[in-house]
Amino acid sequence: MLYLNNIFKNRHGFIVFFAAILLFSCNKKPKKTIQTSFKTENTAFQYFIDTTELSKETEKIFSKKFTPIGQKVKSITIYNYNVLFSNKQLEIEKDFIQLKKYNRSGFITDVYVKMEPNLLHEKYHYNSKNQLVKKTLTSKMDGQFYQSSIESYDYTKKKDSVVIRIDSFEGSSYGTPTYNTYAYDLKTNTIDSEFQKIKLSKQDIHYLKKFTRIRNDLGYFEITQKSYY
Amino acid sequence: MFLDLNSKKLYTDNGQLIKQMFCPKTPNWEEFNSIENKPYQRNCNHCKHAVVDTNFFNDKELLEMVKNDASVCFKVSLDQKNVTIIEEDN
Repeated sequence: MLYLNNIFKNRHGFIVFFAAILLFSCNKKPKKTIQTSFKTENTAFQYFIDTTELSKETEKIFSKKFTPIGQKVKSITIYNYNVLFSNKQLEIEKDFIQLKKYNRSGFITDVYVKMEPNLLHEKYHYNSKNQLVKKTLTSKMDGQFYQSSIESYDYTKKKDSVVIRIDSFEGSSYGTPTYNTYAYDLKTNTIDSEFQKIKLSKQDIHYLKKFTRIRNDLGYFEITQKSYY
Repeated sequence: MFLDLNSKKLYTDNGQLIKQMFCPKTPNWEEFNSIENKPYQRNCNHCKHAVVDTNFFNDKELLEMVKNDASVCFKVSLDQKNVTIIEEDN
């Protein structure tokens, strides 16, 4: 408050202050997306993340640190609502357990993408109508902590455009599992089904059987039990 | 509607219980006998019951079905657009 008082004490400060606000509000950033993908024996994962709101420095680190396309990873673990990718066998961290739950009154869904030694944490906040109201990106890399959040966008009203595309799997216990590539566009509220089907290796199936479910609207779905009766 | 994976209870969007999903068999929709002109319903190959695919119906219609026949069988897929998957604490 003291700072603001000092600004408004003279007319020059007042004009500069509002010019800065005007400049800031007019400075619309073009949408930027980073794509990362990686493969297990026979399975390709792709992950698209909007980086419009990230600082250049953070974006640079994201681009640099993400596993380049085609690089193999040894294990993939998806634990309930948390998605983990890593070069090593992962341990479920306490935070994951705490954050995985969400309920009807306040949806909180967390997607973790972990590639040692880096951690990307995306947190999705939903209101009681299951509308996405906030998305927070947190990345811990090289001991430093970066955070960026995109406040208040409501995909049901199609206001802002943040496209999250997560490849996911679709399979069943009835036959040979296949995988689909889903692209969920929050802007259009649609799922782009540009999928290709491939056969999974035994190792892939082993991993997939560990999965409980993945919510479809964020690339989540379930693999071992597709339907309930 | 909501499906609570812990309790297997199916709720309306307003939180009204529609039905608790409980089938002791291991049904397979693909193996069910389809019914002509009824893409939303198939006959179970275990118990011969008609199984209704909830993907085709709204909350009100499902509640009405349960009201008319409490033993009606439903199918809920986790990737259905009209179902939100939840997991509530016991």
